[in-house]
Amino acid sequence: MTRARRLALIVIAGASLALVAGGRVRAARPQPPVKLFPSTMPEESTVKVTLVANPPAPRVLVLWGKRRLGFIMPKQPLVLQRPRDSGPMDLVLQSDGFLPVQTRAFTFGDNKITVKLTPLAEKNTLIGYRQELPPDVPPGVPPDGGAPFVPDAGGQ
Amino acid sequence: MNGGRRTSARAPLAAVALSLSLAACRGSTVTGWSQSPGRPGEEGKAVPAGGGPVTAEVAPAGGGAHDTGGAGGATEPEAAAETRALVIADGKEQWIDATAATAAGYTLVDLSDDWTPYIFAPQPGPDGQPLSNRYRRIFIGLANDQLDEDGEPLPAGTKNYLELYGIFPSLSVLRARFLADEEHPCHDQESAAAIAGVETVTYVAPSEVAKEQRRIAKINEELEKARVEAGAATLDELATRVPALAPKVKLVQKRAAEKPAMAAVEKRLTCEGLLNAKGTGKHTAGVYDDAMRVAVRTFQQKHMIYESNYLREKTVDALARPLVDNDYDGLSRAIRERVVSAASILEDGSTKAGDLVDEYTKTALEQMGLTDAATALAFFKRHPASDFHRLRVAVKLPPRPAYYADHMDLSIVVDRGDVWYDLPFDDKGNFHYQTRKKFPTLTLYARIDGRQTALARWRTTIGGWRAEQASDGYEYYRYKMSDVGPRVVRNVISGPVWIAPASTPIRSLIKHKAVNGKWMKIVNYDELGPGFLSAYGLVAGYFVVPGQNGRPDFDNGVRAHGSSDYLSIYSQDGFSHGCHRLPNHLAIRMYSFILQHRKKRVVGDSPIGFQRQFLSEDMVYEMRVPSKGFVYVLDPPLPVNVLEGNIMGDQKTPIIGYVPKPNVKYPGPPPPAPDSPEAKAGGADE
Repeated sequence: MTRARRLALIVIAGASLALVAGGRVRAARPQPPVKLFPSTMPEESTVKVTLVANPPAPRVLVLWGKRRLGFIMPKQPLVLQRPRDSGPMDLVLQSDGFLPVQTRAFTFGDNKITVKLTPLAEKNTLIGYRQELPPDVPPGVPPDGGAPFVPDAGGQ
Repeated sequence: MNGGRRTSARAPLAAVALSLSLAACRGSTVTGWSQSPGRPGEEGKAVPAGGGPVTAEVAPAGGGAHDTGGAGGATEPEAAAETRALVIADGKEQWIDATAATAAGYTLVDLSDDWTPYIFAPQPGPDGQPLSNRYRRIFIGLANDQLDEDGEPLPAGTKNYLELYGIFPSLSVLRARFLADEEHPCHDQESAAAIAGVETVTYVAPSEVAKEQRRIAKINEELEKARVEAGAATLDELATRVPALAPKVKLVQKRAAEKPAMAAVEKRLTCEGLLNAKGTGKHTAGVYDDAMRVAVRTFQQKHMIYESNYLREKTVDALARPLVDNDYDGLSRAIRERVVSAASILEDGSTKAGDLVDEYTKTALEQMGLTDAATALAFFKRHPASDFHRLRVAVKLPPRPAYYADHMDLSIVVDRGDVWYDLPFDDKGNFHYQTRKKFPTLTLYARIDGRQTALARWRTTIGGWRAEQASDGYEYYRYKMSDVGPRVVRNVISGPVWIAPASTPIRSLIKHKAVNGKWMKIVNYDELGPGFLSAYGLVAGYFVVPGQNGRPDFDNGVRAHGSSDYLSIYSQDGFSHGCHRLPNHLAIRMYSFILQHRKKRVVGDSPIGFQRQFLSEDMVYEMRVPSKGFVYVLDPPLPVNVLEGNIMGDQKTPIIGYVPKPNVKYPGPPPPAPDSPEAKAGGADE
């Protein structure tokens, strides 16, 4: 290997290391806040809402009505900046393999919201999940042999 | 859900918007503290409650009174507005020093756009610093047509009509309404006569209109034939000669009168911008369809008419009146609440204690020179919208009764009235009506000279059979009990939040809303609160059994609270989940009165950080509740007694547990009903 070639390899390796290191630095850097306020408004009049997903899914898309606000990444929360006391934001979080979640962010002050994500297969763990009906149950008849329902009586 | 509550304005409200943007800035300060410094019969603090008539004359500080400058009004700088009050003597308006006016026995009635009732007024904490009430900003924004129920900006030109729900329009909103209605009267004699010609307009479902028309045509034919046979000149004569046909004659005559009345109603509602306008839905002439129902509901909300959403008596009466006359009634109601607040009175004629509310309101209106629509219109033309940023009027009210004091011996009694524990349906699933003759009432008593005197008594609700969601995801019936016996109210919460128990039917926890340009389903925070539509209304008192020997109070989830569901309070078959509901404005009056006449501590905002997720149609909804509301603690607590009432029917004790709904398929027997206080009645705190 010629001296010039060795020198070229060293330069390439150094550059690669610098890129990787730079990449690491970028990966750890928090995302800039999504500014959702008039440019004329002073920053002191705004609040920051930090959105985190649990478990940390690879990419969680955050929507505010029609608008895509950005992604929550595993180590990078999404920060929204809104005018203080400007009313709540109704958001939807979407991520592959999880049920979408509708949540609300308030603008009373800086706050952090950790949104629990439920895997598709675990929806039966949530309030509101309806058990499957057994086959051939006629309406109004509890499947207990047809005995009339006699409620317990008593005071509170 | 509330789509019909708002409507586009005809007139631009830029002036109102400007005034409110200024008022909102002030709303975050403590300017409202002095909202009721002067009480009737009290010259400053020198005269004991119940003192004799006040005769002091206007005594302006620093240079004497000066007039407002006549038409157009002399707008003083904002700083001056904080210290002055308007007094009207011999028809002439004068500004006087507010402190001097109070000392001279005047009561200051706050007509400012950022006024709120006492329960939402800024309150100092123990360190004297103002305590933040999260709902105050929204209350003011709603009253000024600036914000929606979530506190988000209202689209330009949109109006809130929330009197029926306890939020009266601000004076700026009423001013704009008067001026617009003078320009577009929407009232003609022919239409008014057509509407006045009927007491009600019969509701015919849109799908039944053609069938009903055929039925009436057939009866008409029958009557015409009978008339000829009887030799009667008219149908009235026929009814006299053949009494058996009188009901049919009455029916066809009523239907004949209803047709032009309905057309006149359509014309009126269209002119008022409530029907056939953008966003009001498609209406078919002559048919009481959904668009018409929503328009009528909005009209009722605008004019505080407690009727179901049909053309009933009070609604028809209001439709027949000139707009400015209705506006004057609206102004009187708005000023009434401010007078009640300024004088901190409650007696409204619902008991033998008299009607101070009416008496004081009339006195104030007379002294302000607001005696009819014409004088009110002149007042609003004289005063630009900017005057209502901060405007207090000094009036001399009659002295309050001698029993008034800073700390009164007050108590609440709830009489449950006629109570049915029986299932409302038989074993074949047929529902049966359970008649009640005596309805539940809530009475506020004051002990005066050793005797309990009822100050106010209102219809309220008790619990009944309600749908509840069980752990299997299906809805069952459950009897929601209103506890009987002695209790106390220790905590009063303004802008309360209802923590929906896990058993709350999911369908009631979701609503549709336009979010940032997209129509979508979200958690129904209207139901949770804080807000006028909340399950706890705008204010709630928590009924608890006081803890003994250092133990905490026992809370079974029952409250007496405000409610937007006025039909549940006033209808024959209305029930709650165990709580005692009052119309929001009455609940506000009662708790404002109690807080102003009992020893209390102001705790302020009560953070809770509650969250819960639930599933509906493969979407997870996460309810987040940052605060329980703004807490006042009564110390000593207010005694309460709930009377058992008359137990009707065969079942003499409440049925415990879930009962399957008739004609519903279930996956198995009912799961056990949760027995926690949270799951009972209104739902206790976490």
